[in-house]
Amino acid sequence: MSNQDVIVIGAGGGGAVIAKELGELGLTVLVLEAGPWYGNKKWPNPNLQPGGVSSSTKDDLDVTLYKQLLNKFEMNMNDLVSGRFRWGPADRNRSQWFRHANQKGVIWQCSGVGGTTQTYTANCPRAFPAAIDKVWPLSYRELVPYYEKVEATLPVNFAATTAKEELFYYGAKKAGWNLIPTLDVKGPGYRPQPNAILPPNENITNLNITDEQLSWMEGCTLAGHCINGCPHGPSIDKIAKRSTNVSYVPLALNTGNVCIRPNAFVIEIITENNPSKGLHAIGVNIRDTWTGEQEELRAEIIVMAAGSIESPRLWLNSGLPDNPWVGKGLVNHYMDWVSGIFDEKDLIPILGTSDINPYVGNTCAARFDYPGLGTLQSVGMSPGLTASFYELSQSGYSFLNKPEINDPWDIKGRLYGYELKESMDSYRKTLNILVSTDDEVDQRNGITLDPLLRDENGFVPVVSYQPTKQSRRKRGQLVNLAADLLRKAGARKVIWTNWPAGMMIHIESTMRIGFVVDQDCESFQVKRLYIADNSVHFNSLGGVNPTLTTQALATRTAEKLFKKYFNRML
Amino acid sequence: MEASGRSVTLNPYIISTFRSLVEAIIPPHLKQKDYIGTVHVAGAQELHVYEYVIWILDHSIAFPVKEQFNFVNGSMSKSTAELLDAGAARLIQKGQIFYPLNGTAYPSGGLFSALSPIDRLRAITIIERLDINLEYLSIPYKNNPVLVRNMMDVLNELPMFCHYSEWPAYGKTRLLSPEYRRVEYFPPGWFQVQYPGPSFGYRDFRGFLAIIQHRKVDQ
Repeated sequence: MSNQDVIVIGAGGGGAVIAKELGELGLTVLVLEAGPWYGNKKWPNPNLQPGGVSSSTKDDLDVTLYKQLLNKFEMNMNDLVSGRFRWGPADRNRSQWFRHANQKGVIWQCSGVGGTTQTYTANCPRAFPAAIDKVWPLSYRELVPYYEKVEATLPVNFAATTAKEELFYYGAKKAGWNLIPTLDVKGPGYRPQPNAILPPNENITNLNITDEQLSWMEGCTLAGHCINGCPHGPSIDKIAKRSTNVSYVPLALNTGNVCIRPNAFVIEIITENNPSKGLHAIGVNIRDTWTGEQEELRAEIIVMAAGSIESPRLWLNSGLPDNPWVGKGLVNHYMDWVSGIFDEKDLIPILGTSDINPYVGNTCAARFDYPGLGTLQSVGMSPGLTASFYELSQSGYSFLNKPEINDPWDIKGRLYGYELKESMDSYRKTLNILVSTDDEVDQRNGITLDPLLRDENGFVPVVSYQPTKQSRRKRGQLVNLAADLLRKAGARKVIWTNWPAGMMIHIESTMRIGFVVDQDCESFQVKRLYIADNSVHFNSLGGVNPTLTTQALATRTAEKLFKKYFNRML
Repeated sequence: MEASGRSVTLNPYIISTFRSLVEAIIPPHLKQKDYIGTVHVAGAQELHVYEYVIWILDHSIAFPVKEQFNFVNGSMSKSTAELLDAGAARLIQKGQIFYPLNGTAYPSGGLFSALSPIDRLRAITIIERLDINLEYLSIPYKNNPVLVRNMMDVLNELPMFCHYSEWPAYGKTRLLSPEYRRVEYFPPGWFQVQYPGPSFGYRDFRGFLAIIQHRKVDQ
C-alpha cells in the first residue's frame, strides 16, 4: 500500500482500534509496528527470520501457529530481557531496547502486533466519572457512547468467579463494603472485574469434554494464562482474552482497507510548513528492525499510538516544536503489592476447598474501587512472576522492617529466608492484591531524551517518576484497606511488599489532552498529527486501568479525524 | 553481548559471586511432607539459577548503548560482581558482619562470597543505601546511583523469577538462545510450590456475581 490516507504508529491497545475504525469509514490505513506478529502465516518463525513485509487480510491469520508460539511458559513468554513479550526487536538473539529509568522499578511494555495488550490482564473498567467531569476538557457523558461501543466490540463482561474472587468478595463484604455491580463508579465498593475476556464456554463444567477440546472452543477456559499469553479459542478472532491482535486487528483486516507492517520502527515524524496548512505532518521515516534499512512513507494523516514512552520520545527525536508538556506529567498509579497467606482450616468454610489456587481463572477478576483514592484488584499468576513481585521493595529486606504493634501487616519489604520459603510453600493458599493509586499529575515526572545515549532508533528515553505527597497519602490508605480486606477474609499472615515508585505497568499522561493535543487528540502545534494511546490521558483516571479509556478515545478520535480532514458527514 | 546462544561466562570469580548470591536469596531447606517425612528442597544454587542471572546481565544491554558507555569489552556480570564486593568490603570495614568470613565455600570468589548468607543480604542493603564510594565502581555503576540502587532489586527479582519458572528444566539447553531452549523435565520450582504448569483449562467455575447488559454497537 503506497498511497495510504493514514499512517498509524503502533499496533497496540490504541493503534489497532483507530485503524479498525478508520478502515470501516473507508480510509486506507497503514499500521507500522516495531515488534513481531505472532499468529500470522507470513511470519512462521517470527523470532528467527524476517518473514514477509506486511499483511492485509484475515486469511493470513493462523490459530495453530498462534497456539504454538504462545506456549504458556512464563520464562519463555514474560522474561523482560528475552521473552516473546518484551520491549525489543522480533529477533530474540538481540538485546531488548534500552530505556533509562531514573528510579527503582520495572517498565513492563511489549512490542508486537497487539502491543502490551498481548500480556495485559484485559481489565476494562471505565474511568471514575469524578476523575473526568470538570477536570478533562471533555465530559464523562461525552465518553460514554465510545465506552459502550468498545465494550460491545471487544466485548467487555463482568468476570467469572473462581475461588480467589470468591475469597476477595468475602473479605470485602466482611470489611463492610457493598457490591457495586455498575460500570459507572461513583462511590466505594467491590465488584467483578469488567474485562475483555470471553465468558466461560457453556461446557466449562462438562467433564465429558476434555480440557484440550475445551481449549479449542469459544470462551475462557479459566486456564489462568492471561499474562503468559492466552492461546485458547477456535480461531484467532475468537481467542478468549481480547488483546487487540485477536479483536481489533482481525476486524481492521476485515475492512479490506488496513495493512499492518510489523518489524518497522518509526524513528522520525516528517513535517512540512506552508502558509495554507501551517506546520503539518506528511510522513514518517522507518527503520526495518531486521535489516536496518530506512524508508520514508507518506500519508495525509499520521497517528502516534506508540505508547506513553515512545510517543513523546518520537516527538522529541523528530525535533517537533517545543512544548513544556511534551513528555511531562507521567502517572503510573503508584502501585503496590499486598499478599495474604491463608490456612486450610480457614479456607474450607469459605471456599469449600483447601486451596485458593491463584493460577485458576482470569488473572485479575475481582476489584474494589474507591473514587478519590484508587483501586484494589485480586491477582493470581504463575509462580515465577508471583515470586519476582515479592522482591521489588522500596524498604529493602523484611528483616529491616519489623512491624509495629498496630501495623496491619506481619511482614514489610522484600522476603528472604524462612519468610520466603513459607510464602512460596503457601503459593496455592495466597491471595495477592494489586494497589493502584489515583496518583497526581506532576510536571516534573515524565519522559525526556538522554542527552548522550543513542540506540539504532535515536536518543533513548529517560523515564522519571516520583509520587507527590498526596499520591503517597492515598497509596498508604489503599494499602491499609487491602490489608484489612485480607485480614477480614481470614488471612493468617499479611505481607506488604512496599513496591518502589517506578513500577511502570500503567503508564499514562505524557502527551496530555488540553496541553499537547486538543480535545479531538490532534496536536496543537503540528496539524494532521494525532495521538491514540495512553499518553493523551489528562490524568490517571482515578486509578483505574487505562486501556478501555484509550480505546474509547481512539474510537472518538477516528470519528473526529475523519470529519475534519476527509470532508464527509458522519 | 548479543543473545547469540553463546554460553555463560566461565570466569570462576563471577560464577562464585553469583552462586553465593542466589544461595543467600533462595537457600535450600528441609520440609516436612505427609507420609514421607522430611525432604530436602533444592535452593537456587542447586538449580543453576546463578547461570541465568549471569546470562541476563550479559545480554541485557544492546551493543550501540554499550559502545557509548565505553563498555564494549566489559561484562555486566563482572561489574556487578565487583559491585557486590564493594558492598561486602564496606560491611566489613564498618565492623558489621554477624559471622566470620569463610573463604573456603567459594575459593574463587571475592569478599562477597566469603560472607555468611545473611551478611551477603546485609551487604546488598549497604549498597542499596548507597553507603559505598560510587567513584571507585566499574562502568556502568561508576557514579551512577540510580542504576546501583535499581540493580539491588533486580538481583533479588531475577533469581526468584528464574527459580520458580520453567528455566531450570531447560536442562542442557538452558543457556542457548531462547528460541532453541527445550523443556526437558517438569520444572523443580513448580513442583516445590505445587503449580501444575501450563494448562488447557480448569473447571472451578463458580458463576457470575453480576452481568453487563450490552447495548448494540449501532445504537
